[in-house]
Amino acid sequence: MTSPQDRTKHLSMQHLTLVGISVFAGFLGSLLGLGGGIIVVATLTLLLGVDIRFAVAASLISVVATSSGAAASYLKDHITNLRLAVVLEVGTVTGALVGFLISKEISSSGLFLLFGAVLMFSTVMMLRKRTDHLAVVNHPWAEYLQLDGKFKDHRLGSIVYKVARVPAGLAIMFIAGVLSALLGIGSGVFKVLAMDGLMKVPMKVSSATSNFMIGVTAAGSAGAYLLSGDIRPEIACPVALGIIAGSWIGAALMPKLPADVIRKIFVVVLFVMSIQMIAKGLQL
Amino acid sequence: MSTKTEILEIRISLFLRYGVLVAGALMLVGWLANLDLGNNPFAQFSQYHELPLFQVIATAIEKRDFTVLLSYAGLFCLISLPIIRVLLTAVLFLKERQFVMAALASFVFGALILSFALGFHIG
Repeated sequence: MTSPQDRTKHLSMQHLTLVGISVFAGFLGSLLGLGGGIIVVATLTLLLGVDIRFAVAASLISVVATSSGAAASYLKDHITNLRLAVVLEVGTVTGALVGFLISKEISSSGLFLLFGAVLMFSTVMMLRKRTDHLAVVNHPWAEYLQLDGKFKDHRLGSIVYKVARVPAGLAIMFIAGVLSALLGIGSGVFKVLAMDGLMKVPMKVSSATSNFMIGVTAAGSAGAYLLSGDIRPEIACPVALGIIAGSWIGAALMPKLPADVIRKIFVVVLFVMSIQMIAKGLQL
Repeated sequence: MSTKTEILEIRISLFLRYGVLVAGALMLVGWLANLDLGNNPFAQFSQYHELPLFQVIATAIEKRDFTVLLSYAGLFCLISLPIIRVLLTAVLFLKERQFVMAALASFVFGALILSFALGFHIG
């Protein structure tokens, strides 16, 4: 029989595990630009046995925290395209509302399977070589809304870019918003895919703009989850605090760390997690 | 967008950073005050069950458990930050007389408010 002291020690370890992994998730998220929410949901469900719905709700809080804390940095570097972010937020936030409504109808096993599939997709996307293919002309909507821009690259100097395929980009943003609400993630990988893959925005701009938008996307459903009671402070508070601390540490250490090596390790971790999530979904 | 507006937007985003600190402080106090090392904190969340926020708040007020309210205040403060950012961005665009962009930002703001309404209705 476990003594009260052993029990307290064991339960303290659970709290420390949650906070520790949240710090790590925040650290990795700030370093790689994605993954904080993924790690939080996977830890809560696979390691701590929390129902996926509570895990998703808590993870959205952490996504809001990371993005809000770093928003100033994204703007200061003058790479983030604020006008493009506002336009695309129309898609993500609408998607988030729809995603919240769908979440009430989908089963837990469905969420696990969807999460595993998205993880698998994220793994493939992280492996692909991203190169800039800039558009020559603006899409008419981009022309009307003045979404094109320029930024300073330290090697290539000033780069002017146009924005293509705005409606297609909006459609992908809608899907990104739905997935964000369903799975508690920032959907950064979809946003980046839409912006640099479809809309031909330079990679640096798409990454910065995606990071800037992530908090608004998450807030699109976090408010609904909070008022419906799915965000529980016993889980969400330590997760948010850990993520905030981790992202500050990550931002401070970023220039000194080999992001490429960390990215490769993370790809392997993502793949393993995706298999586990799919397996869990099939078991339920 | 003009340089002056860019500077204002950066100031708004700095306000967000301080907002995260305030929200973090509220959550930290609320969480630590309610930390129960004697029971498994995650056992009650292994199965999904609905418990609307207004019921939790009503119970906390009845029991005078203000630390729970502090945690929720921190969470609410955190979620409000990007919403406030969008509202202020809409105001900035309006100031710049960029009415279409202001309308788009206002739409995003309206959708974010609708999110709360949806949660309240479903909860």
